Amino acid sequence: MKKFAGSPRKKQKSGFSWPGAAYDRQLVRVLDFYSSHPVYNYLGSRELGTVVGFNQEYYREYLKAIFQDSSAKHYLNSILHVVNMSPHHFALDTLRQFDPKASRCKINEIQKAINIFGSNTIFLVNPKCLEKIACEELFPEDTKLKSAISKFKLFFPDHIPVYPIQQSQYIVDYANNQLFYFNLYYNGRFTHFVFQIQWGKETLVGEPLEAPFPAQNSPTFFDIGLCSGSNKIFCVYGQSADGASSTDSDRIFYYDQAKKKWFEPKIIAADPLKSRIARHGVTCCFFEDSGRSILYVFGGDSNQFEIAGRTMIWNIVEFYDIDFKKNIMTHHVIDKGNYSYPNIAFLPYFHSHAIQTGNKIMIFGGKHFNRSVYETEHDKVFCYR
Amino acid sequence: MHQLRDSTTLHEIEECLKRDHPLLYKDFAEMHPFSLTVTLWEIIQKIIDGLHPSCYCLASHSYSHYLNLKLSPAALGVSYYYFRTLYTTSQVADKPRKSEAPKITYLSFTGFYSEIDIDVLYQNADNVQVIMIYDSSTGGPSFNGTEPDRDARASESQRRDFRISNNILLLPLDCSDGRVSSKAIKELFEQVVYRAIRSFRPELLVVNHSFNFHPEGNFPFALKASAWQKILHNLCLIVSYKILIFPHKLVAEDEYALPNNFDSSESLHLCEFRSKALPVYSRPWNSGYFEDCFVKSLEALSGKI
Repeated sequence: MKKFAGSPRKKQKSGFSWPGAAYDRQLVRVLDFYSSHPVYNYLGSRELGTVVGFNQEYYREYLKAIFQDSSAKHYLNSILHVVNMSPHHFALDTLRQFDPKASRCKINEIQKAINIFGSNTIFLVNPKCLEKIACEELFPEDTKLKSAISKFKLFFPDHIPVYPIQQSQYIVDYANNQLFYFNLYYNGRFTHFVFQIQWGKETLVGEPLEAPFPAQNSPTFFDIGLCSGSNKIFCVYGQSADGASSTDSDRIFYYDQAKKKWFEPKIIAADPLKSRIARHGVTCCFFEDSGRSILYVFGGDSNQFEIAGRTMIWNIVEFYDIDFKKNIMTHHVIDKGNYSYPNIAFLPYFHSHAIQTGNKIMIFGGKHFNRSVYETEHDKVFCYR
Repeated sequence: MHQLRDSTTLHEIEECLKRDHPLLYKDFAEMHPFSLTVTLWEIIQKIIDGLHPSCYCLASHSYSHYLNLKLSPAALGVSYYYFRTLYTTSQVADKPRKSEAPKITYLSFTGFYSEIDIDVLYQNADNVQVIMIYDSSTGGPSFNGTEPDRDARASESQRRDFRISNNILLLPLDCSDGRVSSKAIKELFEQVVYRAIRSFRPELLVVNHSFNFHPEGNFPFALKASAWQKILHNLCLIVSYKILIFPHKLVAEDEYALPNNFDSSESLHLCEFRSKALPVYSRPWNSGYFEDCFVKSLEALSGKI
């Protein structure tokens, strides 16, 4: 929905409307006009990541009004944005094939798409139920596995449904039954929320995190590395966006759930010659071993370092020894050059998920690059360090 | 007008203007507007050449002929820059072709639609991007294809602006629900304007802003000085601080010290503009707000924020 926060607010017209509706409709019409423009056609087709989050109170009624009034053709372009901003990133091109002069039938198809892809639902696995299921029963179609999966609908405190946007990220702290959702668009700005998971309930209502993250007057960080452990949620590196520019970060923050407070530890380099590299999309894992608290950080992406117009994927394995009492992290980089075999796999793909199992780290998924042991496709260049 | 068209030398043109169209002569050929245009040309050239990083002009000028009612000196300055760059006789060998001239983005943020700015800007160059953010009730082409264009030259056909150049980006806003807030303006810039400028990659951004969007009174736009500063800061980042800001505001008819001929216009659109838009958009500057915007603009232009 191309719904611009802070639109003019004055009067409500008869029938369904919202403050600033005329302004929004006009803007939708104008941007829609440019969708077939030879130069500015991209203006009407952007993934408007920050748009759907606000004025949710009008969202449902808005959709209802659209579908009740099949003559409201010019809303169709707005709907595409709603769908496109769902966490599933529904292919916009698929919807573009719908004729703007759509028939009722086509509108129903779009409505169906919204029902499928525009959702405030999240599925979580209940670890206690999972423990009761034997390993051999864990095949995909087994109903026992399904019984361990709970479906929740997420709401903001004022019962506005949560529609995560492209920049939103979450992590589940199963030990404390908490879901941390970062960068949800709420009341005109990116806000972080914590949801107390209550198994057996259908809805979860979020609360804004106690303190601003990462600190007051700091930029909002996107594409951060997330992991949890020792009653803390770690936010590693990321990218800050300030209107026109984006900057990679090398800062680390953690939220102490016991103290309900954010901390930014002081970082000391174990080897002063090995500097840290600011980047985003890293994979990280909190690791505890014989009383040591360690934060591992793998890989990452960067828009800052360009070689012949290509950006860098970093194949870095580094870790931090953490002293929570002194709030200090000591940075170490693993020198992969000392390994005996020359072709170390592309470890890991960025945007992976990592967990500690015993004294090992297990890494799941991530972004894959076809040619990549050393070099990625297209506009990325792999940087071995 | 025929005599003016038949004039071939500068002297003939000047004489013809002085004799037959004294207000046009006053608008273009008298010392004040002439020196303003030439000064703007020089500043534009210096910014494009990298001799100046950015500039905020504390100059004001309004034109007296009804044809120039909506004309901005900044548009005239840009047009003159292209004229000097492309068509004057000196250094012929180094002259760029029309499509190779330096790219300039002209951001019109006065609140009203100005067809003459568009015409003047594209008179001498193709490489100019016009982004015009305005109250849709002040005129402009129709975007739904059913209503006629409201334009001083509307009789010539619909959507003429879009035939002039593909680089024209018109953003008419419906202010009938109430005033457009700082937040909405910021979002419009973030989601549309920045992207359009970034994509065009201009060597200079000329901002023609009226700086009378203070929150008092019944005005269609309300832009906080702090919001303006953030917008300008982002614009600076996009164009590497190559910005020329020219504050330009319409003047109320009763504020004209010298005579004008606004009554002579036969254009229906201009008559409507005079009666409805001019009283609104010619409202006086609020000195406190203007000062605040000026200081914040300087902070942004000098990279202090």
